[in-house]
Amino acid sequence: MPDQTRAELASRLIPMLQEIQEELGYIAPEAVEWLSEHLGVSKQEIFGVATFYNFFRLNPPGRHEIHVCLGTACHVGGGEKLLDTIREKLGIEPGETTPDGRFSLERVACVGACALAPTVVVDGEVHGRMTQRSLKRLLDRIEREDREAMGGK
Amino acid sequence: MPKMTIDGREVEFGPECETVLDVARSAGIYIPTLCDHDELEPYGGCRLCIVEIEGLRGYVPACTTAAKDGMVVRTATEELMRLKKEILQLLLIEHPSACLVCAEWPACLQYRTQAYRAGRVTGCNTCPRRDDCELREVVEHIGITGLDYTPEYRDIPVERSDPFYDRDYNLCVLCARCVRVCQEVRGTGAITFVKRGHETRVDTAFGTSHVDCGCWFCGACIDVCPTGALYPRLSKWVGMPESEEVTTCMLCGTGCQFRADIKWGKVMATGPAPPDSAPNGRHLCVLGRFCIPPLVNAGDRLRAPHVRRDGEMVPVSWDEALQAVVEGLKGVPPGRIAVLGGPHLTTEAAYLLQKLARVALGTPDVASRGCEFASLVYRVLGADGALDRVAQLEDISRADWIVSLGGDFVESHQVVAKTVYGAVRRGVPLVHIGQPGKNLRRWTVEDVLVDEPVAPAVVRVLVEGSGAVEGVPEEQLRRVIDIVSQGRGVVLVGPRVLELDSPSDLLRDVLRLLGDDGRLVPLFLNGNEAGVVRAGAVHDMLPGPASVAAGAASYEEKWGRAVAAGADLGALREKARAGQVDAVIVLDGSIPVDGFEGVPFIVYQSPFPSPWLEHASVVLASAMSIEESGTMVNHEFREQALKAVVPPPGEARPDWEVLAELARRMGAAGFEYGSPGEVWDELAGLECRVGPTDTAAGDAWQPVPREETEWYPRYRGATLAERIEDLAVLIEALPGRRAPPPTESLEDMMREAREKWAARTEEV
Amino acid sequence: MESDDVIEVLVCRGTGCESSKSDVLQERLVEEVQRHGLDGRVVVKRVGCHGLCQQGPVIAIEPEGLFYCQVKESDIPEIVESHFVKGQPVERLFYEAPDGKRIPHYRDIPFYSEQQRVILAKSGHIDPGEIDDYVAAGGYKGLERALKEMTPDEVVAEVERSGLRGRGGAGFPTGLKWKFARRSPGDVKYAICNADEGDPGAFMDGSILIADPHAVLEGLSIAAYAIGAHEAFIYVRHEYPAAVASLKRAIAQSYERGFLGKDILGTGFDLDIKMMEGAGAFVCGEETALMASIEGRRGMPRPRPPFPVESGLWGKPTVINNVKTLAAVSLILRNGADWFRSIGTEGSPGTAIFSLTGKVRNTGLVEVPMGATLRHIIFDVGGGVKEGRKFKAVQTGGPAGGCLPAEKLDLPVDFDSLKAAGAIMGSGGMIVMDESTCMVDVARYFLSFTQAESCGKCTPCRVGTLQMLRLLDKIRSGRGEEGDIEKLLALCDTVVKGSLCGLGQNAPNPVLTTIQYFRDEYEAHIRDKVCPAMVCKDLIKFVIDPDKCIGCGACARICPTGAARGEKESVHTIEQELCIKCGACYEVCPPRARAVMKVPVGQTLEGAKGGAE
Repeated sequence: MPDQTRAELASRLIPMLQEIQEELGYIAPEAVEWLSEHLGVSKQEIFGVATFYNFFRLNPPGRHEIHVCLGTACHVGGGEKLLDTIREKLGIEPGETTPDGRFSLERVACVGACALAPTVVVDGEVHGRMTQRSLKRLLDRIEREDREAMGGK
Repeated sequence: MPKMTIDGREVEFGPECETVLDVARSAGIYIPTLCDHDELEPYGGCRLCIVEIEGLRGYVPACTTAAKDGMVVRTATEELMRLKKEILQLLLIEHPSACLVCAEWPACLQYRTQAYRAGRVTGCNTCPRRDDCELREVVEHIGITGLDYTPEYRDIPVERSDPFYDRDYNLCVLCARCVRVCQEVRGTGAITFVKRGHETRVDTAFGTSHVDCGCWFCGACIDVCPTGALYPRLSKWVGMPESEEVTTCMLCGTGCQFRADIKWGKVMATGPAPPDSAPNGRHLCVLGRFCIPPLVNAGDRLRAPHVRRDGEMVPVSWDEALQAVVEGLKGVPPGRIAVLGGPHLTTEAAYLLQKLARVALGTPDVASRGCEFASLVYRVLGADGALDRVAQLEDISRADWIVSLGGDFVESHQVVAKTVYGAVRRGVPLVHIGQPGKNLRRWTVEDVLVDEPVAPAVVRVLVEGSGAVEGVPEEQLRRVIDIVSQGRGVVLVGPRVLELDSPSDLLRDVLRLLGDDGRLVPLFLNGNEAGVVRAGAVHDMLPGPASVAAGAASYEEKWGRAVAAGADLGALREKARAGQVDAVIVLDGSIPVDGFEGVPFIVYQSPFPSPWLEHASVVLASAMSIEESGTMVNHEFREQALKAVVPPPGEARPDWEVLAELARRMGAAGFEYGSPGEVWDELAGLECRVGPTDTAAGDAWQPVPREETEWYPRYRGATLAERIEDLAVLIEALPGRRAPPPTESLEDMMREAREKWAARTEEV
Repeated sequence: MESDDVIEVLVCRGTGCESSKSDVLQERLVEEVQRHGLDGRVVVKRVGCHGLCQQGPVIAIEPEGLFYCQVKESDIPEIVESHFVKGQPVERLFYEAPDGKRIPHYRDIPFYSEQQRVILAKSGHIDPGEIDDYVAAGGYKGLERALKEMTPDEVVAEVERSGLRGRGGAGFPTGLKWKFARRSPGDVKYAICNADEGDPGAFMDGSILIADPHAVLEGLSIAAYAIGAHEAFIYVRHEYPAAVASLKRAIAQSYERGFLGKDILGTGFDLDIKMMEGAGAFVCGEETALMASIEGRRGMPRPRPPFPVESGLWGKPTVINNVKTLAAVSLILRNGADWFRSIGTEGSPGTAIFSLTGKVRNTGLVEVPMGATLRHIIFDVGGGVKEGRKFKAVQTGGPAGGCLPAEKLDLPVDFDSLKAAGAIMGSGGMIVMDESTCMVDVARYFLSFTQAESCGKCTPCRVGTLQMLRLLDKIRSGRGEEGDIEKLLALCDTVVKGSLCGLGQNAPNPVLTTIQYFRDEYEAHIRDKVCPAMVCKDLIKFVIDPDKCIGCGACARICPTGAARGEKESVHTIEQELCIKCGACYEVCPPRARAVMKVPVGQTLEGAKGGAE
């Protein structure tokens, strides 16, 4: 049944966007064009879907991805303040990537580790019970490691 | 008959009423809505049509709730109206509404005749939709006189850089009608909602221009917008028209009905005709929606007849001009006169043109530009007695499968495309044979990717149910054979078949493929191709149309003149180049002058200047299609009425009138017509007579060059893209939309994207 | 007996424990066990959430039923050597009761003893990666009974008789929903498990999927059989990678073992279950939005009717059930409707599962019979408010739920009582707040969440919630005026009654309940420009008490703007002009000094000190 195939194709959109994002880290314009051709959905419809869901980002992630949890427990525990600190330090807003491609910042609703609030996730690793002090230490450490890695070259 | 109670009134309703809102409307009960539109699927977003229904919890939107027998509905209880008022107020926080809540508003309405031009819309008085705004209607119905909230101007830059229309999303109420009509009805998907929640906006992917997002500028979004957010730039500040008339668009073979908005004796804008208009309903394409006023109101229209005196063109009276023509033709032997028409003449004018040639001038050499396709269809289908197999657009809606070939119809025939998309959306399989563009590729279930010359071989395989075509996967052919073997089909044949060596064979194969129930859609590019052929204004056809072989005898009897086949346009050009033509009457300035430069006496009759002017001895200024009445025959062979809705400029006169008078002045009998209706009466009774052997004329077929089969609208010397800059922008974008399907894999695509980004960060 | 000799070490790999490195613990345990040659006698298993996340990472030792809390990597050698080799459990890792006593067995810890774990019974006790563990614990008995002994109508009737109500929020009778879908005409029908648990502060569904995925698959299969569906979907939140992995594995095993696929258990019933990951839109928990998302569209809800049971996924009759509902279905089919009815209350049979978070001593996953009081959950199970502070309010039902005050602590928890009190059961988030919480701020926080998650389709939710947020911000920042509360209430009314879907219809609940129960706090913000809980930034300032400052310089080092300053070893000050009130100084000021103070913005330090006590 042709309408079935059409519906099936369309229903693959979100899983494929997820796959592309997993691989590429973001939804590039090339990807939207590609999907439009292969799924028979206009670029606009794809873009509409991609911008509707929080998960999808439309700019490339930094080499280090920082996610600040702003779930209830983290909010109560000062997640917003942690975010402010990072924002100021990196000079970018949530959803953005530093121009050198090193850091990107996201706010997330809840990472499900409320007992450890407030949490910050860096490169997939959950850092719980964060304080201004431990945050500063964490950022400094990344900075140091990056420098060492560069120096090592 | 089921019935329900609405506001205490018992209302019976039929199956056409699907929702509670439908029932209320059928009973004349007004329920305010903003997002509902009868062409679109129910949406339920604006919440202004909420009603109370006994047995259902809370308030439900009338537009999405199915009508059921015995429902008890209340539409305007005090609580409901209070709630609607609140909701509408919320909407107006962000919609510039200074005027609506202004104490002077009633006086303003009375004393200001129309909205005035302003850089930013701040309220109704600075809004182009001031006088026919749906939102305003709703506000007035619900009764809002003040706002309890602080208005918030969204301050979105007004988008003015795309062709044809401005987009001021500060006025947008997010009813999604534009997005839905573009996706659901037109199948274009040029716009979408981006982001969500309070940040939701109508936009394109990555904010690209409308030229880049695949918009065809059909204007459907404008026509469904309930506010002034979308507005055609040219007519933005014109205000309400003085009158509205419905007539037929001649800019392509579909012959759409459109509404002409008339003010100060001019067509200021065009828009959709009433919903039941055939064949296009309320839908138009870029030509009908935006191109008519700039064309009609062009400053360089020919406004008066001219005669060349001492090498100078001087304006003269009609009497002088016609006399000059009579004198110029006097003594020219019939065999040395050529009469040239084109596809944008009314059928009546075309009929008189050939009659002038064949009867008054006695020459068989009457030919028309751009009518090859209609001529071909009449000959092939006429010979088979198969003229009734030409599809009405409704046939597309009823088809079980659709095949298209001969070019990308989404590009050339937007209204046909819209009808096809309606079927595609319901699950009817569409197969394209050829090289479909990006938009069409999204609709098809199979793209048989072949070049035009190979298409006939593919059709042949489909007819025979087996066989192979080089370069086409066997598996795909089998799938397509499966598709076309079930039920009633429709085949869309586009103008690119004219490039073939023998398109008549292809047409015959298509007829076999269709069987008795199937229907053929011949996509004529040019306005009245079919009418001009039917009028016999082509070299090898007589009115009816009748082939010369089949019709000569009866016309000889009727006209008292010998009737023979003439030379076609190409042959006439060669004849002229060889100095064998002494006089030319040309009614279509889009015919290249090439070859005819040396003809001593040229009569150029047209609404528009063209290179012919330089060579003409006499110029006759004629009316355009919306300035004269007559008949246009579209690609369904439907007779569409052309109405004179505005007067022609200056002294320009309708072609039929000029041609009839010219014939009379030349002393010919049978040209006493009081109106185009009388011409039609003479023509309408004629039958199509094409003998089986006449199709052999196909053997003498001259393939039409690619430039002529492409969508590049021309009208009697006016090249639309040269006159309408915005249209040129669209046409320039077409090659990009035709890009072949990419072959790269998902991995390749991602690798490329990765490399691009890496190169960019490297720079920093 | 031989089996008595086998020690099972159950390492909790729930999200909470895993983020405190329980994966490393498990690796180390395996290493140590091998090093001591205990293979075969000591089995280390990964299990799902034990529930007592506050004490994570936790390890349970079976069959003794011992329970180690807050285990660190460095504790592992001791556990293995002392406990497994020498038979002497490590007492210092036992749960520490508030009175300082160590409780060795989890069944004696009030957190567990005060619960009735039915749906969570297997969580933390079976290896979710092994279908055999589930089957050994009686799993798939319910499905077997349904398929082999009952007609679909009988299954529907059984569930109807059990009185089970949907655990996703609204509490619609599950059996009735199934009956409607079963009766809807059409050959193609779908069953969907809604595992798009998006409430901040809620992690019940995710935990169940990690700890006991087959219970959900079994329930979903039963639902599909009952309504006549041969295709089912699980829509999981993508932020739960562990749940996704757990489900993937479970689905694959079910196919292998013939619990899914063609001719299930030889009964001729076919069923495919597909998993779809959400993409981060809270509104997709709403069933029509969820279906739009599965169809590949923007997750925007559509008005009902038509209800999904008539016209759902791709226009076909569809049943959508929550994770907990389906887990309960498995048990109902196994143990019978009467068993289920014997738990909970008449109107709301069964148990309720909450994720208990916020300022409560024992945060974690809690299951109690319906009808238990809030007090029981918060104080008996949860151990009361943290750090001895005073209980102020509890928010149930996630961001669209309501805040209930101390007066409501004896409210029995069930669908109807919560609703009557202005809150909702929701999907089971329960957040405890103490006196340091500002109720205006809390209302604003929840609203900002729902506002940001509004899909934007309908006007009341899109614009109305933003207007509410603006008003709350105005009040919070001290610009509130008389009449603002009334304005808020009017907006709430419009949004509740006018919105398209449950998100909008419930979004005002936190505002409505905080105004209902804590109106005085709103008035304090508006009239006195004071935030009684000293939370709202614009109404407080940070100052350093010169009498207490020890000049350690911690505040100056952490201050992001250089507002906190002073010479080393001398009294520091905070330059108010520069201060962004991030609170970093307040946080780092050493407990021995406690010199950084919060003071109402209109008062001096002296005034504030004088005013307090």
